[in-house]
Amino acid sequence: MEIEHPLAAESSTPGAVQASRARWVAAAFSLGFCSLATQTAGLREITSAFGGNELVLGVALTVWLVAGGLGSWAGSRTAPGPGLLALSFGASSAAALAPFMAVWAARDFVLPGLGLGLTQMALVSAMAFLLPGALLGGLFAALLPPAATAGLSAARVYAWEAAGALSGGLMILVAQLLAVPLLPAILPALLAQGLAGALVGGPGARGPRAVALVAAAAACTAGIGLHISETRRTSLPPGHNLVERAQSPYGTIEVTEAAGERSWRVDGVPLPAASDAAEREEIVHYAMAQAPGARRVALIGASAAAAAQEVLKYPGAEVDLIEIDPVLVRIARERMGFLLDERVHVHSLDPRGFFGRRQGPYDVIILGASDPLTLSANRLFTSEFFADARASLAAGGVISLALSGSETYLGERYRSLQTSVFRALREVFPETLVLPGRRTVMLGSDRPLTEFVVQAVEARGVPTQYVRREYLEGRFSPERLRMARAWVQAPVPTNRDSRPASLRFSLDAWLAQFGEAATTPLLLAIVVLAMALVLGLKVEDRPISVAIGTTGWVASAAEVAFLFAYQTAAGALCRDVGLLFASFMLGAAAGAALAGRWGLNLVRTEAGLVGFLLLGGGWMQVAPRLGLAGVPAVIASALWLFVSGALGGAEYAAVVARTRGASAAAGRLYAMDLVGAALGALLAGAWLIPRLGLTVTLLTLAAVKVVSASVVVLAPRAPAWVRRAPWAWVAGMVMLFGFAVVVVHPDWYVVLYRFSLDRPYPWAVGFFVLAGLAAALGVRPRLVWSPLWRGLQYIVFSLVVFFPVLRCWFRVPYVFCHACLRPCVFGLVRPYVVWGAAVMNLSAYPWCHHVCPVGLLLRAQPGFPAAPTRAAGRFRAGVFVFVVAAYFVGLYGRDAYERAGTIYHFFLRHSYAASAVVLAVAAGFLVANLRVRPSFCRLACPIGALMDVSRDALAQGKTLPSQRGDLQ
Amino acid sequence: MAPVDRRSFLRAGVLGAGGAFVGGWTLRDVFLDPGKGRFTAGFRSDAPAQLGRYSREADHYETHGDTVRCMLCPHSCLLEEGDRGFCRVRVVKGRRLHTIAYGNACAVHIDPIEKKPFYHFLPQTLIFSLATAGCNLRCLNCQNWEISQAKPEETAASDLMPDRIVEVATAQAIPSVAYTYSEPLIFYEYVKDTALRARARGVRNALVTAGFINPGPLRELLKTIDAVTLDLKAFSNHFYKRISGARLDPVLETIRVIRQEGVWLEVSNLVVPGLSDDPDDVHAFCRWLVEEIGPDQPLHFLRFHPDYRLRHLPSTPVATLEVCREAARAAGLRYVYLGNVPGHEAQNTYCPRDGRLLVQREGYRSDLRGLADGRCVCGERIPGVWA
Repeated sequence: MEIEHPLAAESSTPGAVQASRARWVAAAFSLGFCSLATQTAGLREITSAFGGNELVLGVALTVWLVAGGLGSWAGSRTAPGPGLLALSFGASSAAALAPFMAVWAARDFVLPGLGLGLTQMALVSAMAFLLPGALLGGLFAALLPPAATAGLSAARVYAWEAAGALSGGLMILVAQLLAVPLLPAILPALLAQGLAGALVGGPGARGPRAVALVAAAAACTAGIGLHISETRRTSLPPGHNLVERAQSPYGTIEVTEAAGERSWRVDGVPLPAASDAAEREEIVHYAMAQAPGARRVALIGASAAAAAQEVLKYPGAEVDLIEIDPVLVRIARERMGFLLDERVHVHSLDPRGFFGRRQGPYDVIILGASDPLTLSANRLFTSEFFADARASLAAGGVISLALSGSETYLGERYRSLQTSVFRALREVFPETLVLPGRRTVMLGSDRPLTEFVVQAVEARGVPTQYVRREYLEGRFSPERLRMARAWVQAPVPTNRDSRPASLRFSLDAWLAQFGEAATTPLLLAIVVLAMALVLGLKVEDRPISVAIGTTGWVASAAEVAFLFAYQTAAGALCRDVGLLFASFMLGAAAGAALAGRWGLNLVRTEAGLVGFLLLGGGWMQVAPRLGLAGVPAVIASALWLFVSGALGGAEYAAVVARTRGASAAAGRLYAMDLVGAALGALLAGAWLIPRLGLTVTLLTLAAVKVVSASVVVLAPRAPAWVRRAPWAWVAGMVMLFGFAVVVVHPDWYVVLYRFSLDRPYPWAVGFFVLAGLAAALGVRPRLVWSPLWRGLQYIVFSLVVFFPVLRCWFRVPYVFCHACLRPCVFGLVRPYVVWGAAVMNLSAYPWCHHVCPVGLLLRAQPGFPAAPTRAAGRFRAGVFVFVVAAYFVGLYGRDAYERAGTIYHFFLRHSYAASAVVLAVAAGFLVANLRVRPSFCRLACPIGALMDVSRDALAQGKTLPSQRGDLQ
Repeated sequence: MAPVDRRSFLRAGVLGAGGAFVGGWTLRDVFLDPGKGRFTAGFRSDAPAQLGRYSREADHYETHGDTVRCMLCPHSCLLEEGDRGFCRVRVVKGRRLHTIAYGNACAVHIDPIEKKPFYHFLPQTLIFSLATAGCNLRCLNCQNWEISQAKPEETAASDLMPDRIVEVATAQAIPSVAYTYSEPLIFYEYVKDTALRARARGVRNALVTAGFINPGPLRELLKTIDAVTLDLKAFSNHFYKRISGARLDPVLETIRVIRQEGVWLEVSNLVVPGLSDDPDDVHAFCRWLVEEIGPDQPLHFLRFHPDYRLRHLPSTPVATLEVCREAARAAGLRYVYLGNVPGHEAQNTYCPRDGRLLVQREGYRSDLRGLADGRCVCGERIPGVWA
């Protein structure tokens, strides 16, 4: 049903309509402007503070898009008046500061120097993005009805929003190029939101308009204050003083000093310092020892800057250092004292582009890059790069690189990483050598290499501190060299530009350090998929929800793929991301605005997307051979992104046209688009590209689009039952699959238990208990969409309730949880749950009937034609006591306590064992629910039974609203 | 919102306060103190399906009905059938505790003994070094985390039973065996059996350990051990809990027991910048060493390099290490060394009486230029096992 908007009456005359339309255009533009600025700045801030890689970026982006999807869904269900709209704009202005405050608070909270895993990064992203993302997404959907009354279609609003995002992207790009810190850079977006708030408020809401303006001004002032305090504040390693903090288009660089020694780091990750003799000597001397008489040496990356002095120890040597970031080079010279010798020549260029132009010839090329944990690093470890490097080497020249290693033991993930790089190296160089150490050094050449590197260094007569016989003779024993060679024989693919296998293995190794696998992105993907299903169920014309959801999915995944490709080709994504985002948004704006004029209906855009993705897959094969770099690479990538955005925008306009102007549906479809985009970004970054490579990823996306296009074309001809609920069938399949996994997997309970040990889980339980308490007190915000909220509650509390039901129900009663010796997360969080539930149940049964999954399930049985029975209080108490006693005493006997030693040991012994008895009892309760509703909650569950028994005494027999429905 | 009467309000208040108290007390264990007192439960239902060639019944455990309590280290894991201990290598099968780290060494090398570090124990010799997977600590800066934080079945291990180790060592004339890299105390039975056989063949045994073990099992093990390098993480219980997932007191007790048992001991301390470089803590620790063990106790301050989860921390400034060394000398210790600093003179041993250079070290090589029969030419006896 379309919502009648309070502002509808305001725009009645043609002049007023014209003026009103301009207001909504400005508001939509400002929304896009602020959204992109906040999103991009937030992503940069997260990676600046904690380091980052594509997986982290993918998860953070997903959180943003999910928040936007949630917000726009909520916004499509509300009809805020002009005052509330103006206030919301003001609030979104202030919320744009949230990413900065959240990231800084998180950084101050964690142990200094501690790297964060993906789960923690997802939490930081949630803290940073949930509020602004939801507010900005919600405002978009809330704008649609009043804009429609002013004659501005949803497609036009979308187009203006995209145009605003384009401007936001360009603003960030300029800020990057001018090295303006990000917080001051986004202040214009905050002001714009305030002005937009004043505009949309209209004449009848002077107070809220003024508040919106004041909020924006206050947010700007607070932003400036925060920025100043941040520059003064120390977030440095303890005991370190800040020498300089500089912003470059490629990251945040900090130089610190402690005990007279300087350190430097980029985005929180330390680079080798002057005192790290082993670091700088190993990458230089192993290679130089292989090339007697080497004079021309290329060092790649500023992280090799400290090594230049080692090269210059060789008579006649000259160094070319290739580093794309001029700020980093300046800092290396001015603050770290590196690269000052006149024999060092610095080239501020991308190394791929530099060697792509066949520079040299060099006698030695030394790669200073760290592990290929990011795409920008990985592109220096591919066979394509090695081929360029070989072409720049003189005959007999040597290339040297280093990867994380160990001289003691190398695990499977690092073996895979080393092997994928080694295969790429061996594909290009006929002679290779692997030298073990804390960092494994690999050498490649076209002439034989010697394993006796220490002797060769000694023969050159170069003074060294670490690369000496006294340190290394044990390390380069025949047994260790053999071991190092064996470690690079894993059955894994070669690292290539189009299939970045080393990136995948680096990410696997990185996750393993935090005891994580791909759990976090998987969980996120499940949540997002569930959201997409729920949203799809609500859209009246379901085929169009399939179309827009999958279009959001593939457009976003294709965007990630083209950004990856650009990063591989040019290595300047960090610098140009604003421009490329802007190009995508420009396409989206143009597509949405011009879809009608171009005659693009839904079927044509679907077909266009299939063709685009197939062509894109072909382009990924052709592009590396073209060797695009610099401006041509930017233009090519921007064009692809433009087309991708244009098709997405045109499809949005086409599906909106199918809703015949229903603004609420347009808002929901926008949410669907965002949720699809979240899933696309996550899956493409985390799984598809690292595992399938760019080309196959795009072809897979094309296949998805073929399926959705088929749905669009065939749906009108499908049988009625399919048309009624296509998503329900998909949901059913997913649930069946999940059930099968849980039942068939022999260790499913271990998997669940491990999942529960993730810190976010107890926090989520705590949050939902508090939310339940608030709900019990009558505080139920309208913005919370109740079925979705219940779904989340169900997921979170399912583990708390069902896991113990199946694993320790009646074996460790709730009251003993706090005394249990096991660090069981369920047990440890349950005291909160129990007391929270007790408080909730004081005046009614909100816990039992609205929160607890068992109660929710049993409430789903009202359709049975049986008359419910109210059991007497004493009878219920008797049943409860009998069940508990019978279970323990009957099942184990009295002597079980004595055998166990103590009562705690007894509970430990009898906990966590699968039991057919428990399942039978559960089935019995399910059947009993036909007569006593809900039987389990009121007869057996300690919380429900206790409250039920004591309810008469405590609440004096009042039957309360939420209870009535269940007792009827 | 419905009005709340006084009685309901009071009830809600009492229940809420009770809930907050009980919940807060228990949630503290989740977020702040995962060890939860002196009990740890390890990994539930995580034992391998079958015990194989690399398992033996473990020493030092108690049974309580059907539960088993491991008594090897202060974690005192309380386990039941199918559970795995905190160290990842001790599992309950058939109501008995088994070790699954026996004969399946995943890292086996021959190192210079100075690398361990041992500076006063058989210098200039090689040492046969081995490790299995697993550890009873959770150090955030562990440099061998791929084995220490792994289960034995997750690592690629070689078949190396105790007799074979001794055979190899004697065949190659290697005078000692080191149990090192991860935490040897958790493959206790493997160490004990190997050490017993090695000693019978004249090969000496050395532990490189964090020392988190109960005194009883330690005393039993030390009967076959000749030397220990003990890595004290920091002289701060807070550091142990926050960075290493353990406690300080048992480690200090281990140092006392080693000295009481007459086993040669060298202590090392990795100085983590900002986390364990407090000069007051360093001084207090050195005072404790002097009082409990004596001024002749060798102490190594090692330089930290970013590793594992502490990758965003810079290396320790050399000057900080030198400050630590001065604090140790001021406290009365006479043999204080700096490690992981190539070329530093603090790797050498000097006579405490006349300052003469006795052992010059470059890398992992020692030159005993001023030392004869463990004495300086001035007659000062230098503590250690020199031959």
